[in-house]
Amino acid sequence: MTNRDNTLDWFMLVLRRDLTLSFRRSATYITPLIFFLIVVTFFPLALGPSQSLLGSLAAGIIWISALLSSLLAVEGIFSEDYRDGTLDQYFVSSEPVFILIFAKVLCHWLVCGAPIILASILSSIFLYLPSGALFALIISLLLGTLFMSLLGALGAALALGKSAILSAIIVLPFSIPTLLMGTAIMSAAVNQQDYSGFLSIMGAMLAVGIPGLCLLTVEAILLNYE
Amino acid sequence: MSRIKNWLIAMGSPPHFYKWATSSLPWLAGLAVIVFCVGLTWGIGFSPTDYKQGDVYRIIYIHVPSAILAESIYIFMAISGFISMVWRAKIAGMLINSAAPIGAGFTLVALLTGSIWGKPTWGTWWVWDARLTSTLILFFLYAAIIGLHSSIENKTKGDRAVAILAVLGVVIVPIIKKSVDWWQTLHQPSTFTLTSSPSMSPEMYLPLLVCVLGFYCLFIFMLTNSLRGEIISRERDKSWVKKQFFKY
Amino acid sequence: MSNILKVKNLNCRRSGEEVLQGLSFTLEAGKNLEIIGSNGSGKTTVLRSLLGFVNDHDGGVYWNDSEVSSTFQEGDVSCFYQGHQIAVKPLLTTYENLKFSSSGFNSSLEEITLIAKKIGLKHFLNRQSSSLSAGQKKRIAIGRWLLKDFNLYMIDEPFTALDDEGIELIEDIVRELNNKGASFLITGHRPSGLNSNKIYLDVKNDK
Repeated sequence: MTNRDNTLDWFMLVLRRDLTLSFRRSATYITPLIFFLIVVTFFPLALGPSQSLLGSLAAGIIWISALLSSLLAVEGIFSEDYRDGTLDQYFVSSEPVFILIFAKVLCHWLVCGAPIILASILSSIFLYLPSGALFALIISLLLGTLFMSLLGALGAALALGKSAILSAIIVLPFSIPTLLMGTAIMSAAVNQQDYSGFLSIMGAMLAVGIPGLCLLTVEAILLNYE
Repeated sequence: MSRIKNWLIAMGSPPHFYKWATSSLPWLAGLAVIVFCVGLTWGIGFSPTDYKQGDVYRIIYIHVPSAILAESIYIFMAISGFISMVWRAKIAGMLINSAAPIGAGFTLVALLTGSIWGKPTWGTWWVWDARLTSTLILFFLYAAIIGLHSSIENKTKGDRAVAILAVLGVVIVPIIKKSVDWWQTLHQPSTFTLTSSPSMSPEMYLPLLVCVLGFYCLFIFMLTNSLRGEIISRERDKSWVKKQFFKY
Repeated sequence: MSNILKVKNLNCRRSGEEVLQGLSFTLEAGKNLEIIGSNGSGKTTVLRSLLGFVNDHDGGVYWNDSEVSSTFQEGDVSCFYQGHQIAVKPLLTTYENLKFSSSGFNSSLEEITLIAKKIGLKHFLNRQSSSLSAGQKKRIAIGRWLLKDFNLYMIDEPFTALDDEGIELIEDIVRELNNKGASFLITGHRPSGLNSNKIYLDVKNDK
């Protein structure tokens, strides 16, 4: 009953609908951005405005702030659809649901990840990030925030209807490899070293993570239906 | 082989497990106390003094078994999670919930004893070496499981949720450990690990083994005890429980 | 007349408790079936078990006369489901709610406008659903039935929140679709005016 055209249609349907909804509600894409900027601002406030200090810490600060913002932003990804019956329709559609879940995550990443990455460019100025690391920052964050959105979706599904902090604790330890990779890319870039190896590792994590985490997320959502 | 299989399948049913648990608990307790005490006294009291670290190293007899248990319990939880997902055995699901606090406790003990060991040997209460960091992260993983389960009202659904988390964790934990190891070498070329008594004579080694065994016995006792209580509390509306306690 | 759906001795459980026992019925193409019961009698559970949301049931389920474990439409029947929650998003307009649905995503603007006219919402096509009444939102849900042809419509409580006009609208649509060979399996609190077989559920038992 399922043919490939149909699945693509469904994928685009979910993507388009979620994108439309996200843009109707400006809070969806503005709040993660502002949260990110506020967190980044707190570091100079707490640590002092010394250029050398902030410059040495910039990569880590930006990465951690991006991690947290991504994670918190994705928390509500399923709650509305679960409550109003849209999620039911995914399961009844006889399409592989994990692909539709990925459509939702992709939409979320486009809507929340992109502003965060733009904000991180701004933060690189606030925090005196060494020049030459900017490109590495953007690339590593692009991959990293996508992974965080995937992980965050799993956390949101497991803790569906519970607090955001809970879904954050569940998922943060699993984001450690991404964090380590991302910051390694940054320090390699600052030292003018080649970081393509790290990028391929992150790419591999995504390649495994996209199907794997989406499948687990489907399992987690199904738990709520018993 | 099939006898073991039948025993395992029978164990999967709560009333059967409860009966077995009630009858074996005193024995398990006795075994745990004996092996645990023997191991500890032997190690702390009778093993030779290390020429490098003096008597401080004796804390290894608590630290290493705790650390080993902390990791094994997580793997154990992941296996029962997998079993509960594939075979839908109720006991396997409950096991995760009962084992998690015990595992978290051992992780804490490992961290604390590691810290206590560190102070006289390196001068600080904490150091970000690969093993300690990984153990800390393991503690967070336990906390996540405990937190998630406690926040879900329907216990069976909670079991399934933490099963997913445990299975995912066991896949990710080696990756995390590898990356923390590598992070360590990246930032600190001279690594030193906690078990810095690399060559242990048999007089030191044997009591350690006994301690590890003792800790395992302790774990099995605590797990059985906790599971037994959990079964009763969950199945309290079922007839077999009522028959047990209210002999009308 | 082919049997679109046949159920024999279905026992359903919800959260471990037996909700339904021994339910049997046959639904032929072009005919309708109503499952009527009070709250908690298990009518929603029946629907969700048949669709595969709830796996805690046993009994024979036959789609198109071939036995299927009813895990999300493995059968050869194209089925439309509408649950208690009708999945109408308040931030989307009527047009978008119709278009971004399982039946509407390949429909053109003209087709959707035609359907909107039929359900009486032609002038609300570009109005956000948050400003519509509950009855109007229900009509959007009804509109989705018409955007594509299905063999079987499984609707949970189709008549709630509708006024007399709305009820008449459903009855007309059902009649029309019956003539095309589609069947309806609906649930409700009270028997409706539809031409259908009715099964009454008692709380804790069938028939």
